[in-house]
Amino acid sequence: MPRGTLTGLSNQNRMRPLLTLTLLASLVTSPVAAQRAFELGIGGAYRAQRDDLASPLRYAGLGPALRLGYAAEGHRSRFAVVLNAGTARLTSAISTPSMHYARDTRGSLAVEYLRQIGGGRLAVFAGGRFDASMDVRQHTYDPRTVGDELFADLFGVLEAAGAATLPVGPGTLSTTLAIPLVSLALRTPYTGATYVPVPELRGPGTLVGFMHRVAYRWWPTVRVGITVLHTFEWIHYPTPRALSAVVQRLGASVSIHVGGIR
Amino acid sequence: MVVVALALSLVACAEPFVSEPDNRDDPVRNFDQLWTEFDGYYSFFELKQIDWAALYRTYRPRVTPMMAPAALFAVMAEMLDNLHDGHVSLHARFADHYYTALFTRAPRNFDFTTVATRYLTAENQTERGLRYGFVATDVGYIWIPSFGGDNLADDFDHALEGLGSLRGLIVDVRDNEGGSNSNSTPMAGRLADATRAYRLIQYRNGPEHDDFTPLRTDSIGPQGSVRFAGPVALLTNRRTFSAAEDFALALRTMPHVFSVGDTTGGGAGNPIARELLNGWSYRIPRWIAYTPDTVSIEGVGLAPDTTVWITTDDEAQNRDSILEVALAMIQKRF
Repeated sequence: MPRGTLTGLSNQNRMRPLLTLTLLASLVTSPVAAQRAFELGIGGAYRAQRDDLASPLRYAGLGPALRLGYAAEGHRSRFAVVLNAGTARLTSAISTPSMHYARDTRGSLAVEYLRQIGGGRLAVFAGGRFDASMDVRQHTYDPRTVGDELFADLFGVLEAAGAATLPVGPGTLSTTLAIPLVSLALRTPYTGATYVPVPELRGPGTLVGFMHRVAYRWWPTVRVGITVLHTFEWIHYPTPRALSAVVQRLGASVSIHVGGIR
Repeated sequence: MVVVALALSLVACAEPFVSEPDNRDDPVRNFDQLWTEFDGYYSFFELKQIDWAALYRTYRPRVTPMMAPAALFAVMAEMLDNLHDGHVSLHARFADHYYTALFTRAPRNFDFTTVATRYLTAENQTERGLRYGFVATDVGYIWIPSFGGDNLADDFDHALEGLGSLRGLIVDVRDNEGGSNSNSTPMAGRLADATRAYRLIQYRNGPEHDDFTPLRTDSIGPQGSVRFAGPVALLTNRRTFSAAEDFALALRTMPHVFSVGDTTGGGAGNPIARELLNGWSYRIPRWIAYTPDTVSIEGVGLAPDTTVWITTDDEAQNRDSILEVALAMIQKRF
């Protein structure tokens, strides 16, 4: 069974990403944004995973996380671009200081567009999100004998997203949920070999998961805002060797208002 | 206190989505995992005509839920020995197991002490352990004991520069049990006069024993600023293995290189590392390497151009007849 050929969905299912993109495009308008802001945040990220390609064991660890973002909020729409990066030392039940651990480094770039579909004090939004992420893991088994292996995964995931915001006290509480529709996956090859794998197109059912974000933002001054947020992401990719991973981030960020009316 | 509680609750939230496997120390579970991993990854079942399912039926009955770790280790090691593969190994905190029969099929045919005391003048050692010097006027000698470590090509360059202007060179990879292609390939490039295909490889890429990628051709060409393209004698023995055999494969393509000594060990499987639930580590070869005319060297090795063995009489007289023959052959080429 030669590998290295592009696999994908049936012709009928290949229409799904095209329809999704068309839907998103129809939602995008180009109003003058009411508010534009850049965001810089730090915090911690906890990653737990089971990657059957690397090990039958669960590996987990906590490490620093960095967040850079740009958001533009119009009268009835929200657009955001966010870059997240982090690193952590993952350990398992068999880990020692020198053996059976993994150094994980992860980065992601998300583009999100939401449009308000419900008004009132509780505002409801719907839209889409594209998340491109890369994860590199140096897995040290036993430096004395078998050494270590390098694993890398790239995912480009198109998601349906929904959000709700509610004014609470001096700020706004928001919650966002995103679910994958179609994904492009590039995983370490079957035997961890160094030949270049071909990206595989995956529909719902073969790459499942969700992203949930809760954030509270308030503006102590006209220019500067503070956000506290928690993000929970889960992804499960079952073939050819199952990968299941959770990333949780908790942090705070500072927003600098750069244009529009607040 | 609030932060700690919050952190703990966040960690706990992950558990339902990524769970910890249970019964990690169950001997039966670990044995099955080892067998299954080899079934899915090992590249030589078809080539070596090994009935892996039959070996499961043979060894699985010997595994019991209450058996001691040492006993389980012994059963696993015995099963893996049926693969006759020098790249396969199993490691626990209390024991290491390697298949060494490939190396003991013939006399050792090497003792560096003999080389250093009887033949080598102006001996030097590089930072990463290469030993070099002269075995005759204008004939240099470099022993590469391993292709492990980082940036070994720098040491090779250092040795070539140290030897200066030469008319011939002996490169000794006897007892070199391998290391990394990231060292052996650039070092072979220091001796290349042109770019040539030197091996074909294919990776195991699926659950069936005959699931492989298409053949990939690897070439060797001139590399580095310090090079030697005069007559080269490559010395090999049964312990020339893995990356050292890749080095020998590359040098075989070069018309100015000839090999002397014994057949190499026969291992070019490029193993991956993995671990069991109970924390034991192991290696599984995942590819098959062939000569450019698609002959596998696994278990067979590379025969030298000129076969010479060091006899017991030679050993008694502190002679390295392989080195002597190589030197005589190089000097004829001047």
